[in-house]
Amino acid sequence: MVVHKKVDVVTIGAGWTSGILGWKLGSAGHKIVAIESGPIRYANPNFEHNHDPLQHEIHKALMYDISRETWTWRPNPKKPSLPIRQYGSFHPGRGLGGASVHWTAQFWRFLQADFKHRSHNIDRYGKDKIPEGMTIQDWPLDYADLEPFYDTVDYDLGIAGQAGNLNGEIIKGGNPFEEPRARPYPLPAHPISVGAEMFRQATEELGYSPFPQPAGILSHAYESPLGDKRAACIYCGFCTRYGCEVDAKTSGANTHIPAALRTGNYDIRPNSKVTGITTGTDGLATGVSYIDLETGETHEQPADVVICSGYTLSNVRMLLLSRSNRHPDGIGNDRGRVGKNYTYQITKTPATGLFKNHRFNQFMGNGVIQSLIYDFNGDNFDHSDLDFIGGASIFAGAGQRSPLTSTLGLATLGADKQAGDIDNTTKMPATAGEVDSVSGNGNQWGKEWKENLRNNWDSMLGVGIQGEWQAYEDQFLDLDPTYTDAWGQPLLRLTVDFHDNEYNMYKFLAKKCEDVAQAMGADDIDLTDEMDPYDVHSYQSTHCTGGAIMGDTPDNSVTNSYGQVWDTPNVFVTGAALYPQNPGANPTATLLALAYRTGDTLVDRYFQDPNRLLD
Amino acid sequence: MTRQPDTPHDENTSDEQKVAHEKPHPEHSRKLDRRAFIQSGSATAAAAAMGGSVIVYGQVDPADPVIQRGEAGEFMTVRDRPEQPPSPDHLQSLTPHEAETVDAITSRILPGSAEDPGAHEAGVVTYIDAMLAFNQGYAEFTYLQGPWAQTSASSPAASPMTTPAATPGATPMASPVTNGSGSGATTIEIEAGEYYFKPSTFNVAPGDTLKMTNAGKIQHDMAAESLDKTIIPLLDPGASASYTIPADADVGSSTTVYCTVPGHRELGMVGTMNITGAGGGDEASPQASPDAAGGSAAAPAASYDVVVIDSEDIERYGYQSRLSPRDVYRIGIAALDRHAMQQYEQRFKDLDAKDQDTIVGDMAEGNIDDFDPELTAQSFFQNLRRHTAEGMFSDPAYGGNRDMVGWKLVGYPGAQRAYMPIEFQTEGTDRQPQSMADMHHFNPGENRRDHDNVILPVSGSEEEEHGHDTEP
Repeated sequence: MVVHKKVDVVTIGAGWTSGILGWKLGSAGHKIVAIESGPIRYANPNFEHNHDPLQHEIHKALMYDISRETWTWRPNPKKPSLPIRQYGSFHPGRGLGGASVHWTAQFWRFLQADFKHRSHNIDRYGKDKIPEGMTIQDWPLDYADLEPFYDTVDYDLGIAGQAGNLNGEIIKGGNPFEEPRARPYPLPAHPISVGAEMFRQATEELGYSPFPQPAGILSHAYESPLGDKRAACIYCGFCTRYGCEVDAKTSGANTHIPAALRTGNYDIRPNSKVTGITTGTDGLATGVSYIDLETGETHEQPADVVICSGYTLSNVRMLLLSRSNRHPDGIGNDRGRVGKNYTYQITKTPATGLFKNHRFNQFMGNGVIQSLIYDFNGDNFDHSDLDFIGGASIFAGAGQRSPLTSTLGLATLGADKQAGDIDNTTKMPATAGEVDSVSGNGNQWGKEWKENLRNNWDSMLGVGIQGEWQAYEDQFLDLDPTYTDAWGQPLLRLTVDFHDNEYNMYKFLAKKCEDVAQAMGADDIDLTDEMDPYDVHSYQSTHCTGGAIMGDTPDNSVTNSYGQVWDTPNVFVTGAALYPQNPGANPTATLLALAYRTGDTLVDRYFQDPNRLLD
Repeated sequence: MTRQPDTPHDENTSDEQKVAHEKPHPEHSRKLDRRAFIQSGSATAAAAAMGGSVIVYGQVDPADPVIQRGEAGEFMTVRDRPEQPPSPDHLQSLTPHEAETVDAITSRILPGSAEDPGAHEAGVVTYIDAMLAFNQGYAEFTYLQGPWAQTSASSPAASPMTTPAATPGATPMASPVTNGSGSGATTIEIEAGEYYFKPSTFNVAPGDTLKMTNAGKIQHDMAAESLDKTIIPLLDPGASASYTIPADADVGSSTTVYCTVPGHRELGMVGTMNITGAGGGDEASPQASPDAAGGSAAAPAASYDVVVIDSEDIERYGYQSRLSPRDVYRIGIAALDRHAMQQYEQRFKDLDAKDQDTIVGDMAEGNIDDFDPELTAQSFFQNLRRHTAEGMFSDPAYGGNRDMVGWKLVGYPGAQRAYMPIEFQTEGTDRQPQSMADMHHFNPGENRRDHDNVILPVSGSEEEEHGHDTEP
């Protein structure tokens, strides 16, 4: 056992929020250590020659090592759980910068109605609009509280986009539904693809308001206030699930982590796996225990403050694993709130259009050269006569498409139609090559498949949605009673499935997607008009949220608005685990803004009077 | 180019490279496999019972000092890109017959000719053979701890696969095996070699342990006809494995046993197993023999715990089969040949294209009910189809996509360094396909090669595949 010298702050994970806190606290003279289970990687040399879809998209080289620690899943409390044995539904990252290294970099602010999700819906539609068992709740802060942090983050990172609402003035070409922003984006939006341009024209004709994707990828070279100088995107087509070789894709590893290291007060211990937060007799945290994965040796890192800065699911598991006499059910869980309000997102492609004799070059670019509409997101449309709450963005035209991940599931359209659509549901446990996040599960083969690939691979455009998933009583995270990680600690169990609200919302949105595909002039449309139940093998975004949610009282939440754990005030949580539920947008911008707010509060107020709850 | 911040742990910045280079570490894998065989009778028995080979990943003992060292390679790693593409002339994992069968069937899934290349011309079988040679075919991080899933036999939908000895997807030991007294149960030793079982006729009782040792020079296994499954997994020369006769085995019956390696049965690897009432312990609680597989006296973890899942839900849980990708091919190819023999009295690879297509169509549509108790025809088809796509469309470095014929088929330019916006703002491209080996390196320095004179992205690089001679 190695016991290290005590530091002011230890962060569990060296991802993006750890970098933000390391930079803010390090600049103020505090000593921070980040314990990271993965390796250190930077663009140079690690990403310089990486245009290998097999390694990144199929073998998932940059992701968390789930051979040693994975998650289990069951659809509801009445069914048994099984481990997620290979990647599917979501893709957490491993190593310096965490998932921000391999993300897509779609960058959103949430809407005011998102922050008041429960009260807003009740005010507008009445109490009965919220069905029994749906446990959505308001955030303990408003958009206005976060705007200054959103604004600073935009400029610190060089976010690219077209403003749609500048201090209340609606600007054509931007997102008219966004909340007012104090300044325009620091960089212009990325050019949109030819497919996205078709979507833009079609949605405009339909009376909607298309706009380009706001992005954490530089559209021009940028020198940031943090001190990094980075190049613009080269649109190479190898982006999501890859590290960026020119650092145009913004990540923790090319912004805040280098800034934190430059303070001289931020120290990273890679290949080190935290096994628990240690607590003293007063119930406060005393530091963390971890295993050096290279030597197998156990270490203790004492600290005044412990910050869970890992992925949503890792943070929740860490709280639950950290049991002691004072916290018999884990830190933050004295009132049984840890694991509640676990939500996710509905990311699907309901309609795929075939455009005969077109070649859209979808293998170029990245995931942000698309166009979207927000007309059916959040509460931007009247739900009075609808059987659901919430919504989704609708989009088309993203690039970076590889034949490895798109040929197996290529839609069967036109003359070939009868060749597909065979129910091949297996009744035996699926083999490894049979189901996958990217493989699709089509049945086409032989000459017909070959001709479909030859003629149509780059002639199909999907119209997709990314939408809300509400919180429910029977949807939560806890420790699995059966399965453990390679060190014998229980895995985190996900109990989650779609409810009526999700099925109904999907059905409504699928029709909108079909309308758009039609307006785009598709020769034929492959439509999935109803959603199948949730499965863990299809990729549906890495936007897992909740489980250690923030609130205005310990009765309804695990932390206050700073991520400070109610029952252990020297433990903080960062990231999307804090979200009471998931809005219909990517979570990253908001968790960065929250980390800025927490960092400022730690520096300005917490350390003046430690171990007290902040108000 | 890209500044690398100073870090107090500079020595660790090269760690990823180190891990990457140590990834495909065959010595480690072999060492672990052997150790598992030696140490863990239970693991061996479990593997035998599941008809698969022993995979130690996920069965690691946290107290095991070797595992605790956490060396790269001790844990499962992601398959790395080979430095040299695998040779089409040397098989790494498949037997020649298996390779010919895979080549034949993937050529039906994506047919071709010299003028219009398909799976055969692309070298898909070379891709698959190399893939299966790494980590039993597990190319990505995979969690392999039990208990494993068994689909509910109560569901009528599952009935076509149900046999008395094995419910669909189940471990063949349908009921949990508990530690019994050990009294009465015996171990029957069988030797396998080219091409015999010794003895070729033997008696066993429920609860007895059948231990087979491969004394030959090539791999052998043992299947029991009445159970319609492999009871001893494919053994390397010198290896042994055990199988516990199920408690509910039909006393008084007898069954033919044989080696499933194609051709071996015909060459004489066939015998008779009589299930007698003599010997054996309490029929209700059979157990592994104390000396099964290397003298592990307790044989404790003969725990065949399973998690029973409704048949209609199982697909939602994703990959849950105990079979490794290598097992899938071994079992699938044998079953494919059995089916072809039944229908056409010829092995699959010897059939004409029309009959092969009939079989592939039946596999795809789930019309073959008696394929194999452990693997459905549809599942095998989905594996083949997926790996055909991987072999067609991955970088040629992995052995398939020879001459980039897969990319040419769909119109994909492969590993380009960069594109200009105008290229995705318009339709179509005249970029020619390029592999990673052809793509110039981005940063000069250690990785620099003779023709890496360009450090900035070059677009429209189709005029020369190798070499941009001007310095920027």
